[in-house]
Amino acid sequence: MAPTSNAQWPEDLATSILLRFPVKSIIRFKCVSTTWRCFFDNPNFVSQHLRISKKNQRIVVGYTDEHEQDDKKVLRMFHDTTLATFDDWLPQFHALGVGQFCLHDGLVCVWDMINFRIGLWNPATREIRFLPEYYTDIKRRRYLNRIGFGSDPILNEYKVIFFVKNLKSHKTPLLPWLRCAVYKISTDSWRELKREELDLLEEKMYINIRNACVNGVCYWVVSKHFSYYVLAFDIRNEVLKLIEWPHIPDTQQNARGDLVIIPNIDCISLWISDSYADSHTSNHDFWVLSEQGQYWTKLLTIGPLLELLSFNPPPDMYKFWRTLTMSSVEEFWEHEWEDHGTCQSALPESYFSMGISLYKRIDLASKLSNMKSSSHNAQDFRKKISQIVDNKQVMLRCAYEHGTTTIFLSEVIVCVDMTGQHFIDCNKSNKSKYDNCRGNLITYA
Amino acid sequence: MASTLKKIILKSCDGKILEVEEAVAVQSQMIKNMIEDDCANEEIPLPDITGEILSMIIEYCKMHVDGENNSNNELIARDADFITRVDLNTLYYLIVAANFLNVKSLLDLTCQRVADIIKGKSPEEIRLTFNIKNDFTPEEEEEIRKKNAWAFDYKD
Repeated sequence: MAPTSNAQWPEDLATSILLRFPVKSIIRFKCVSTTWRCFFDNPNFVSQHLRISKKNQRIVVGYTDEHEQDDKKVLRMFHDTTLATFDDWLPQFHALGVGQFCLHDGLVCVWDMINFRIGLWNPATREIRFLPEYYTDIKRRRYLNRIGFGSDPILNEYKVIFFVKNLKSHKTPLLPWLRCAVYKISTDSWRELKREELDLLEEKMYINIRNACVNGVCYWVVSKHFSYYVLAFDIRNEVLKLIEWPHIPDTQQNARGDLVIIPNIDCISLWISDSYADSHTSNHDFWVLSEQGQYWTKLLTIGPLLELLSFNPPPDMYKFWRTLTMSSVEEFWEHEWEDHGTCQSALPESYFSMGISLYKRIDLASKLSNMKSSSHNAQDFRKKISQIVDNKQVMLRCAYEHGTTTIFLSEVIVCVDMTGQHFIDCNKSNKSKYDNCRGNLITYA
Repeated sequence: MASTLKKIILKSCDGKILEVEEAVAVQSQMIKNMIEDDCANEEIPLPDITGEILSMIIEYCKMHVDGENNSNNELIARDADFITRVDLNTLYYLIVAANFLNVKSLLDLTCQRVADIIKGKSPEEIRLTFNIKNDFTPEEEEEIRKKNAWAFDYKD
């Protein structure tokens, strides 16, 4: 063939072909000859290859595995279409306690919470590099740290930002409550930010763990009481800036938000849902930050996302089946279904509908509010409730106010058969465990 | 109407003359520019392209003009069918010609095909294919192989 005879591949065409190799082939072909190795190691080639590879985006999934100790994060990646764990690629990876990670340009910056060090890992070439240690005192103190990782696209310079917040600052007055240093890959060195450079941050501010870097700026969501900001770090100039959230009337108290990079727009945007509790019933707004970071523009609103629920909640679900303690009502329903529903029915819809129709049939709330007094003898009260459910045994649970003899009714348990149609006596053997109301109790309708 | 369609006359380096409909010929950005500049009225000599390669390129361009209304998947399937019939030697000449005539989609297709053919090869096979001398010392080569052992099992 031509290339083996005297004909030479024109250089631009050869490059165009070599750029199409997967990383694995490139690494192998480095040992073809010294010329090929130089070619593949050329930073220009590397960044061109990255630009092409960016079209084949992969999804990285990071989550906390409940079976792992120390809240260690588990990273997995969709390699082609299958979900692969990072442990398969990097044997050392399992020994790292990944507490946080940042993604940028296909590189993963990980905070190793077991060995107190920051690693930069390239999953494509399977190389990992640990940064020189900084702030070594965090091994001994109570601290909260944050990392950020990004690049300045113009100078092609990659940097890691490392925040360390001292959680016991009142005990160590000589140590500032917050320290921050920036690591530069090209010089393999750290620069400590001066106190005045961190002046815009207040001790009460909480820097969210999730971050994103785009167009040479790293961003974090920052909250202080119920005010939210976006913290921006300009990678080239190493300057921090606080940007206010877009103004959303009335919803700030419950709002929550996260940073997202919208593909092909190449700017940072903020995803805000207007209510913390019901992610499926709330609206989700996407706000895009202007290039200079001065103002937000609403890109779109989506929601409510009821169709994303794995089942159709029966009507009135949101009205009657609520939670005061859990962060989202969906999470509560999942608990209800898994702990109580699965033995009754194969379908969550029928379990929850049965619950709601029973609730309406008994209608305890209005019966309680019809009672003249809110103070009752437990024994009498138990009888009254029992009459509502065909004179079957019921159980009452009470809460005792600490330090007083006052007891409050907290739960009324009535028992039904598997069909949900007939009331039955509640199991007496369980009674002592659940039924704890004695003497006089107070009800709140 | 067919007879009134403008034809472009192309002449290969081995003297073969091919008449091509304008709609097909303008798939080549180079010829399109020539038509726009009104320099395509006479036959266009193509000094580095043989008649065999030129017919293949015209076949490809015709396929794309005729298939304009087809779905994307159909076109991809036709492209794949076209390119897998070509051996590595012919691919080289196709790439050079597609580059000269500036047929972007064909250049992309052919370059990707070459990359696909050689990406699974071993370094030895690459050296043989491209007649490259191994100028590493055995120790140097061993070090690269050891450091990146995972890349040397050829299951891509």
